[in-house]
Amino acid sequence: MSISMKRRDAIAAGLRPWFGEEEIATALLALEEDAAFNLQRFADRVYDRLAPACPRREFHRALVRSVFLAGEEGTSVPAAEDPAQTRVFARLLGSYLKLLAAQRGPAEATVRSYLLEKVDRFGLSGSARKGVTEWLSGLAHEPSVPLGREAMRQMVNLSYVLACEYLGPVAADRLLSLAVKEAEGIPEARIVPPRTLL
Amino acid sequence: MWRYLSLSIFLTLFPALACAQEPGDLRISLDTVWLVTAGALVFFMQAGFALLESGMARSKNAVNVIMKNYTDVCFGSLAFWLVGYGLMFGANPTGWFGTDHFFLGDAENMDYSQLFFQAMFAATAATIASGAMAERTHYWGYIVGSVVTTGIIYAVFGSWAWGSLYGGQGWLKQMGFVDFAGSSVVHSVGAWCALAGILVIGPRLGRFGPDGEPRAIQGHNLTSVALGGFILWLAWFGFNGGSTGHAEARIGAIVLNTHLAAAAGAVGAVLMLLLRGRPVLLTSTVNGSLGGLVAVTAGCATLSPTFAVVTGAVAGGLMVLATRLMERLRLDDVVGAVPVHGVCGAWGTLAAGLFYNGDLFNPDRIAVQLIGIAAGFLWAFVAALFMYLIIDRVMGLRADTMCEQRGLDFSEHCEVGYPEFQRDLLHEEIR
Repeated sequence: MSISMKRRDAIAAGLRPWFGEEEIATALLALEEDAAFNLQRFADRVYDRLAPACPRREFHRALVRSVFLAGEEGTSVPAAEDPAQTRVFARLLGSYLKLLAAQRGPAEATVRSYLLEKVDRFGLSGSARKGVTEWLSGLAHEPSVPLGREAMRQMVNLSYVLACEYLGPVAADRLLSLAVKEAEGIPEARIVPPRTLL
Repeated sequence: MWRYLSLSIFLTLFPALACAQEPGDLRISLDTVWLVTAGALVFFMQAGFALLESGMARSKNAVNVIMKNYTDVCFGSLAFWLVGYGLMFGANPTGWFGTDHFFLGDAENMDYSQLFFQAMFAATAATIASGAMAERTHYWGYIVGSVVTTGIIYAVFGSWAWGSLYGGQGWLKQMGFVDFAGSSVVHSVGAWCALAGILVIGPRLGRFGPDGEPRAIQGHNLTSVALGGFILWLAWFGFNGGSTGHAEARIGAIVLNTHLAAAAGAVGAVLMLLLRGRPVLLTSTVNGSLGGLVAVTAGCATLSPTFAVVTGAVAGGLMVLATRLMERLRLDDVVGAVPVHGVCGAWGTLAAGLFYNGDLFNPDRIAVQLIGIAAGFLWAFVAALFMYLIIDRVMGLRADTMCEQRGLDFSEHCEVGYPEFQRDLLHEEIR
């Protein structure tokens, strides 16, 4: 099965809780109109056109889950925004750790090793886990395999919790804001805004 | 301005006065106007609490704090009408709780006025916990706690001290317990519930360092803290003055005592800060005046102005010391609700016995006051502790770390307090 067919199936599965088959077919037409696929843009367009009975955020999350996070259930496919998302995440967390190191050196190493200890909890596939481990250990510039958004959020959140413990919540908030700003500076941030990873 | 105000008061009073046929009717009409006006002032306290508490929280939690203040009065008023009023003021044959006047629907006019006024008091008691537990408590867990506090915990203790309006007396009232407007009944009970809540949910992320050193988490809007303080001060004139239940001459002395104690509370707090070599903070000064107000609430009708000042000034100093003690115990009380309402409320209840006008330092009276203070703590704290533990177990009370990172405005309400100014949002964008 081609990637575009897999993606189509995954999106149809994500739409099923909200729409009947006819509306799903209409939505998938919109998918075919969009040559450079972007899930966020697609979700917004479908939401505006078909107005499902749920908050926009929930609808968006359901689609994201279906496309990116249901890999274990066999519907996940690599989407166009995946590498961009991983790059933005790597920049975001990398900046956060760097800022943390500037504030209090040992804290950065502690956060890295803590994340490495917890890496099994993020629901990553074997290759993604390996990629994250290499990246956190400093062996790679960024994770070599795209990661799920929830896993990225958990990693950012765990780092935030530890930063709160080390520096206090006010400083942790400030550093995270700075890290977001740095991540917003890379071109991929236009596709995946860093705040969606918080 | 004054002309319009006088005209409004005249127009408010005129129908009641015009319709009054007999002196008794006139009396009831005047009482009703006073009680309802005072009740409206007490309702305004909710605005004061909302501004004060949200100002002391970080901007990412401002909406959540306001929502809790706004809706606990809504849910709490309904709970008090359904259950609380009957428990508190219904006929009380045993001395432990009221047994009628639940779901009040067919009663005398004055009963409605009483219910309105007392519902405002109940809402005040419940809302005290919102500030103490701010920035890390799930909205619905808090609301359930607030409903139980208003409908049961507050009402039961109230029946001991103030019951009943319809026959029988609460056991504390029978002993001669003095708590005119509720230093213990309203404020300490609210604060002991807040203390239980604080213990169950624990401190905010990073509030205390690894060695237990407290880390200041500044509020986001000190202007609103000051405005909230002013509003509470104003509303307290209705809180204490309205507790006469009637329009009568001693209201002047009561509101004067209230005002003097608030002023002395702020001065007491400032002096204590100076004595301790600490900076004179706005938040501590506002809390000092609130401590004075809370403390004088029990004895405002039975203290001379001099002792009202003493009561307020001591309360201000105590508030500063109790805040420090809370930090040493690693208890995270965002707005200082326990020092202000709990400690100052207990002190005020004791002061009402110590400085009782014409019967100073009577050991019997002081003993009764101490019994009342202890009973209030034991009942409210233990009941609230169980309540919050059950809520935490059943539906979750403590917000998770992701909610704390993003802020409860977003995670609980999908709103942002200041969308045009909050540039450093720590959550995904709201569409």
